[in-house]
Amino acid sequence: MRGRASSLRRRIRLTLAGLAGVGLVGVAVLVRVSTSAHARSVEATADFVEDERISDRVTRAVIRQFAVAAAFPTSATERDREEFLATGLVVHDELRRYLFGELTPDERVRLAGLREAHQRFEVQAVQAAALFGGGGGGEADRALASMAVLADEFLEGLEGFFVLRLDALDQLQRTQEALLEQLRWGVMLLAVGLLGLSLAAAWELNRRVARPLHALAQVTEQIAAGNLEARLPTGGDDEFRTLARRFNRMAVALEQRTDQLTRALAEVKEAQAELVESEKLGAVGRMSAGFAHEINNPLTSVLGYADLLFERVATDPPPGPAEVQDLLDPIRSEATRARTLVRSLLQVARRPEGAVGSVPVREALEVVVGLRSYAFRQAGLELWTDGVPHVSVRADPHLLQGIFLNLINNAYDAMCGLGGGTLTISGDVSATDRVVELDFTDTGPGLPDPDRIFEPFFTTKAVGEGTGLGLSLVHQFVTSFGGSVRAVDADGGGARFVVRVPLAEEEAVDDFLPVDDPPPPGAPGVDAAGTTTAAAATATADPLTVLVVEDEPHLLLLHRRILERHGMRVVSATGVEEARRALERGSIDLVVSDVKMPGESGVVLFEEVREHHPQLAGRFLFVTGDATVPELVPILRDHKEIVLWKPFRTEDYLDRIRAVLGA
Amino acid sequence: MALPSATLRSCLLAAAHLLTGGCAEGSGPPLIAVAGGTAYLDAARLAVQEAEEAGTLPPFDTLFLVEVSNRAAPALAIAGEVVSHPDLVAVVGHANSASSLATAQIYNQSEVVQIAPTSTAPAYSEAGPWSFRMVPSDARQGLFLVERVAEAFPDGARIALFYVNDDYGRGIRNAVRATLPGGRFPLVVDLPHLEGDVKDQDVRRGIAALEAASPDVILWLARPEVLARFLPSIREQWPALPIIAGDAVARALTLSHEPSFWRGVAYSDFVDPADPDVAAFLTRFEARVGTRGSGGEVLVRDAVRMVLEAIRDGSRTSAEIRAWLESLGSRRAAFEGLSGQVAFDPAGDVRGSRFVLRRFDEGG
Repeated sequence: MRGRASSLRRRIRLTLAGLAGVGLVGVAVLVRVSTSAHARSVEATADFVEDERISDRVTRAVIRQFAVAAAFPTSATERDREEFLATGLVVHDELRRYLFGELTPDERVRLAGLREAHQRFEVQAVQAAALFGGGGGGEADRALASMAVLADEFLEGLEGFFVLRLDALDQLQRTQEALLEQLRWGVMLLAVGLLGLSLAAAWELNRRVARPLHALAQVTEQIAAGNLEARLPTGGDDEFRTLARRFNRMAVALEQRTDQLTRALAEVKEAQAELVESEKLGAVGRMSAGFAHEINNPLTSVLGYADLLFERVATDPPPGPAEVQDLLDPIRSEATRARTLVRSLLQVARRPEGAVGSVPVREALEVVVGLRSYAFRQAGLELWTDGVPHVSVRADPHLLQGIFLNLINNAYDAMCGLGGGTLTISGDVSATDRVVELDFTDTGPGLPDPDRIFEPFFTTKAVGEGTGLGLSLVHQFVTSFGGSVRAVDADGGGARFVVRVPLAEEEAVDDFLPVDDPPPPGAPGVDAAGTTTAAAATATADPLTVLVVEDEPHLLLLHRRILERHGMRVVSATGVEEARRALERGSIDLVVSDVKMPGESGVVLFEEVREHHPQLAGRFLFVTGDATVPELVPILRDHKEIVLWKPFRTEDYLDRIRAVLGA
Repeated sequence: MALPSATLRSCLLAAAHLLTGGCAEGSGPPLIAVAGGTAYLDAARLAVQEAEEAGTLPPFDTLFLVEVSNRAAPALAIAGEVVSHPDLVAVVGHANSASSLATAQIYNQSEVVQIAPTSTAPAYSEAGPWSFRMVPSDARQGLFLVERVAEAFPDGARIALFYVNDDYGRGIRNAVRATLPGGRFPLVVDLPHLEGDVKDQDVRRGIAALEAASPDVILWLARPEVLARFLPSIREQWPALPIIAGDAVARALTLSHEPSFWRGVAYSDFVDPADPDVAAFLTRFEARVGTRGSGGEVLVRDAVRMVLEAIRDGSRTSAEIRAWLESLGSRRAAFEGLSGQVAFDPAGDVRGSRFVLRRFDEGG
């Protein structure tokens, strides 16, 4: 398999190696031939020049020798002979140069003959000189004549030798020209051959490599574009066949994984939606406990005053218009209050419609604040709004209220149990950025990790107290309509959330000014009209004296009217502290107390009564609409009849009072 | 004058003799060629026989090629023929300086070792890295001869110099003239002649020159064949005129003359005939060939045995034999030949002077 798998690589290598080899061999041959031809050309040129020079020197030397020898009849001294021989040495040395040179066999034989001819010429000349030196005569003349003949023979031989050399060099030149012509053809053929081989190799590489790679690229692009059903053809060379199979297997796996991921994503989205809804319902649910108590109070007033009205109408003399009016007013006002609370809750709890539009930010905030103010008050916390502008923002109204609710709940959860704290909500408009900037600053313990606070499931609450999605949803909701939210530590501790929401398109930023808000209802320092304080009450020993502890003025008045109508004295207290002082004064036969009140709860009062006024422990009645108060659970285990749930009928209320007093 | 190629080829074929087996194309045993006169070839055959008898003969072929004259042209033809043989690793030859010099470049171009047994021409030192010779350059022989003249004539002498006008004669003449002190040793005759082409008139003219000059001694720097032409006329007029000759005359006894013919002739030689081994070889040579050998034959014998020794040492190519020769006397011991220890200088010339002066009337 390995051998098969490497067949393409081998082919490519062989092709490239073949091309390279052919190219290299061709280039080497051309270089070699070219270099050789050039060298031989240079050499031949040098040989021409050298031959011309040698020929010239040899000819001159022989002519000189001949001239010297020709003078032997008149001057054949030892000096003349030496001159002759010394000149001959030139010929000898020049011709000897050829001995170690490159000659053809014919040239070498001719050279040998030439040298011998010169030797004969010299011998004849020297002998002639000797003869002339010895007196001359006919022998000397014959020797001189022979010398002349030999000189002529030598020169002829010399000419023949150089003609031979020139012929050889000429032949060499022709050979070189022919070689160069062959070289030119060779270059052309090599170029054509290389071109052909290159084209063939390119075609082969294109067919075997480029096309499969192109197909791979196309399929890859199709898969990247989402067409996971795209597949590579599995033909071609082993490597690409293997690659195609593996790629297709990968594509199949990718398709399966994508399907799995799609299903998982859908499940996650579904779970997320459920979580979102759960978180939102959780927030509403957490709010509902207090809400039940809050709405039970006005309902209790309505029911109570209605009973009083019925009772009064049935008695003689009938009530006058002023008295009826006096009894109907609380009924109407408390019923209106309950309606507002229910509408607000429905408004917040409603599923978002996904419609982003223009939302009056202040009104949206007030709805949520209205829902949570009672809870804050009950927990001894303060909730302030400060300078939130009357402008509209671009948002989904329900998501926007969800943002506010989660941020207010977050502050509530952070401060609840600390014995106090304040959430201040302020607002401003950035004309430059065309956003409303809402600042939620609390005095709680601050943020443990501001950078992670918006991560899903990041929570500092105990298990079961929250999903960890609240602030994540805030972030998601805000960014969904182009806003932003950031969390920082507030100056002096606490947490600060800054929400920036884009202004609605129709909103003119110059048209508004921040408006100072009056303190919210129920805020500290606001008097509750109509309430009777414990300090104003006057306790008597007879008849029975009932201490009513209730922070709601309408309810407190209702308690008073019912109890007084049935012959009991009422000592009113709007909180635990006032009740504590009334108890210290004594003469209390029965304690009727709300549970959730600003400051201390009614449970605290009950515990003190059990400890310091044990005679009243059995004459203690809680009147509450909140069944979720945890402190009540152990008390209810031992005193099942200690609680009267709001709203209640007047008869039920009196029956329970009587039952307690009887006990 | 060049020989017609057909004649030369047939001459070569007739002269070639394969001692052992045939010549395979580039795959046979190393081939040694010996080129020279018949005496040289006989000496080479005797060397091979010695090696065979010693039982240390490596596998090899030997090609014996006869040079028909002392002239360059036949040697060139032989060289051109022999270098075409693919197994050729060495040539022992040629017969003299002229032919050795003429062929040296062919062997150097073919990168074949050439060992010239008796070539003394100074120019041979420049022939090339593949050229070696068993004898010193004539530059040293010229000095040797002049010293012998000075010894014989301490008060001076008139010298008649005859030389062959070729590379050998001119080379040794120039060496003599360069070292001759002059003054007490005037050169009264300085006459060239031609190799193998001496006519009666040349002898006449030489004798006439001698008559005119009245020399005390003749320095003969030529070959014995021409001396044999001159000698009767010389002895006729000057029976006791001493003749001191160069090494070429050592071959005189190979000519068809009685030893007494050469009376009064002394010559330089490269081997000492008094050496027992040399004497034994010459005796064997004479017994085999029928004529008395000279130093040249001893040198041929040494050269052949030396190449055989190189082959026996593992040299199978010409380059290896060349390296083997160059290593003699340095990386390995000098070759122990009959002519003495053989080692070469960087020019390929044998190291050291090894001349002796011999006389025919000494009986050898």
